[in-house]
Amino acid sequence: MSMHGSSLEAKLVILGSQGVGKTSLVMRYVQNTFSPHSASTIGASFLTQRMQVFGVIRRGYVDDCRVVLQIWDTAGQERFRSMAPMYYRGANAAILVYDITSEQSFQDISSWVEELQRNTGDIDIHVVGSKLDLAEKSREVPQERAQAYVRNTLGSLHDVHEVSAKDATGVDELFHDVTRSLVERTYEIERTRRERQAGDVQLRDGRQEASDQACCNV
Amino acid sequence: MVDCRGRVYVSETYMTFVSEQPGECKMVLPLYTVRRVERVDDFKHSLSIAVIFWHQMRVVIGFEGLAREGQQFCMALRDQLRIQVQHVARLRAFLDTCYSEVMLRDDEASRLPSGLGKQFGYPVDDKRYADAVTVAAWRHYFEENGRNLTLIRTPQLYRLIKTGVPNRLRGEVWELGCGSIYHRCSYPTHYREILRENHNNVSLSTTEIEKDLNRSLPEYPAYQTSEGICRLRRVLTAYAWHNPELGYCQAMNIVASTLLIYMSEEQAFWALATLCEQSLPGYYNTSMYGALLDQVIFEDMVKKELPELAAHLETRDIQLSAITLPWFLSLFAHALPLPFVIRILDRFFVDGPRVLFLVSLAILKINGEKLQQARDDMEFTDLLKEYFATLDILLHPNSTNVRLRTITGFDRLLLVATQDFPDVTDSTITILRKAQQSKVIHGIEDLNKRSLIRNLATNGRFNRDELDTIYECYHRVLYYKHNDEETEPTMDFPMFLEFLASVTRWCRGKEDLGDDGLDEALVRGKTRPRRKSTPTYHFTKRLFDHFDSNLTGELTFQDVVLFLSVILKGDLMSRIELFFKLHDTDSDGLLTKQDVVNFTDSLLYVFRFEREHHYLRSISTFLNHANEYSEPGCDTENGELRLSLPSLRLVILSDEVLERFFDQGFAASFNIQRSVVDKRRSRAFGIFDALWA
Repeated sequence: MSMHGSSLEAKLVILGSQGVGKTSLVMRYVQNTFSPHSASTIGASFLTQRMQVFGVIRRGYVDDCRVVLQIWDTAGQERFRSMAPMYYRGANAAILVYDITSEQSFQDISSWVEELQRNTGDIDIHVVGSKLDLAEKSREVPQERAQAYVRNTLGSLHDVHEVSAKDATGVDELFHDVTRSLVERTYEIERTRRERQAGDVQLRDGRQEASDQACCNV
Repeated sequence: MVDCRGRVYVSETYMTFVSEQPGECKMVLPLYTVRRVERVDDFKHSLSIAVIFWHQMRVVIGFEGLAREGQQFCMALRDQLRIQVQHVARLRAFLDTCYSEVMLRDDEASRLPSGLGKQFGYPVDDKRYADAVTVAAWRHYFEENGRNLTLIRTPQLYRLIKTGVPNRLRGEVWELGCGSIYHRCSYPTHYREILRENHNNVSLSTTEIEKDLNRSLPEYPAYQTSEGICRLRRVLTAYAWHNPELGYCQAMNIVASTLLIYMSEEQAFWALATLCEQSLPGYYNTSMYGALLDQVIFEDMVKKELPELAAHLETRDIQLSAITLPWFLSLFAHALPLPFVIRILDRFFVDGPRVLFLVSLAILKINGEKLQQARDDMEFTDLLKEYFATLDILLHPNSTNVRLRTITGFDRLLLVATQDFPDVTDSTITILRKAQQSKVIHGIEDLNKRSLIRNLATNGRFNRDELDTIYECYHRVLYYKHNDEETEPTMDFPMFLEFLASVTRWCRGKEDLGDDGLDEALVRGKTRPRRKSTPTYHFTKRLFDHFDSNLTGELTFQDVVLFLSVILKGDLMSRIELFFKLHDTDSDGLLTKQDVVNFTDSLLYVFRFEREHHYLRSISTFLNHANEYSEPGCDTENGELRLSLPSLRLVILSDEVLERFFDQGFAASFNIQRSVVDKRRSRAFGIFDALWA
């Protein structure tokens, strides 16, 4: 992840079981299209999306940030699993997708969370339930349970996102949240780094930073 | 017809010929296509024969050297022809499925099974690549040089394929190229039978296939209809049942759906089988080692052929494999527009897997300068996508040269692929595959090992090094059984015996159970034994069942770690408790008389190679003491013995020899060590790690 003034490039990887709708989710977001039958992803495919995040606090000021999001969409079949490290290597964020009409696909999420937490430094994980348009007819995974799982494993500030690539429900919000979270994390890291440097040089500046922090937490 | 020198062979079913000059002439002729063999007068050779085929084609063979050797060949040929005569009946029905016959008979109305393209349209336009002149040339070739099963391969055939293959003929050209036509002819009922036998069966593969049916070339009209989907389903599931170990791998759906445009279901089935098993070995297996192997090789080739680009990729940390793996897995069907894929497949089926390497290299070479400007993976793929979208653009639309004017970006790609990399041949690929194979396979093993060890719920107080060693011992036993294919291999009872034999002083494997012991133990293994008290319930099986935590009849790596942990990381008391549990018939916390007898049987079994006689004495003292310590009060009607765990401890601690056994001896009878080979092997992962790093 690199910053150029108030712009940011970040890598986002999409993971999850076969047929949960990873590609559809990405296509809805990037091209705002939906086709019930997109070709199976072989290995991985890559897409770029540019967007702008408004009103993030940076150095005590409200700031806008341009983000270039590199999206790596991956194959879901189990036997491609051994190649996953090749794709999530160096990713800043991961979207883990399950299908709300398939209990098994939800069960598979936990192994992804474990694997990512083990093998990547501080990747930002988002859990997403797809096919929300089928909720009434064939939901198998209650939202409350998914929510409880996410809070338990990823922390109380995390929410499960439920989306539908078909009718576009929640897709833009999801990617917006993911991007905003990326920007905030980057600023956070930047700030800690500055704090550390400042702390080394002058105690007074360090106090200044502390008030910054209070501001961010509001 | 060509006239050339070479070697002729006869096998049970085929007569084959390959010219001295590579590529000049090749024949694979099934013996049941031969009508008769005649002697020919010929002054130049010691012996000459003419082989005449069912459609009157004559192949004259003149033998050089001793007449006797020629005669030997003729006798072998005669003997095999006599046997093969019975298959001539098969020929007629088979010929009815070959489009080349239709072409010659000009019988377009025939009920020949064909690919989906006939009904739904072909991606490659016949008008452009296979006009009337081309079709006439093909027909002429078939008349002169045989067709389908009797086709003689000469440079002229390759020229014809490059010029253009008529769409209806393409399926047959593909199956001739990869050789699957011979399988199809040899097993005429197999495809239908395998579908019938598994009509209502479901497996993981069929479930995975079902999810992908609508996602295989979805833009091709046939795959928006149930006709196309059903054909694809049948071919993929038939193959998954035909080769259950491989089953189904994503990308096979795309390959099969491409084949089905030009091939009947049966043709596509056999072509898919030949691709999975011969042309692209290991590509679609559960570990996908073949596909990974070819990526390692491809990266090496890029370093050699396009060093500047390779250097750039390294500086910018761009992972080429991540981008090119789908090209190889889907035979480009996932990357390029379909018409180009088809024309690459024409080459691929004739020239084999090197075409994948050549075309990939050519793509990188043509775009070399631009690609060296790419700052990251994303820009790199974007540039390639742009390039793929321009393949049909004319390169010299304003040229005065008529031929030059028609050349497209794709023509140039094929030209670069054919001309610019003379060092990339079948034999270099074979050599490179062999050279890298062990690294890739061991790399996969190492990945499996690391993830298995990482995923252990409990490490049984072993440290990382010890776990590594246990894994080596565990895996040594599973190596041949599972062939690296399972993500988490497990150990059944016979393997467990082998495992014990490899790590203990007292187990010799299957022989320990006697002649029927193993069968009996196995039969019982299916339904968990209720009566642990049976005298024939062997110690090793007791151990196995005790640690079979999921009651599956298979031990996982975790089970084995826990087993070894109790013995190697436990103490005197925990080991006595283990033995107690192993022999406690009904898990009521008391050993009956029969349990105690079995207990001593187990001890006798473990001690049987020890020279010292005091073990025997200790066991008889043990039996006496056990009676003395019998629990009073409960169920003593028949004077039955009842021994609790605390009492068992007392009995054992009262005997020095037994105490020593449970304190140290039993643990010391285990020897967990890496073999020398394993130690050597575990160092050689460099390149493979780089692929994942």
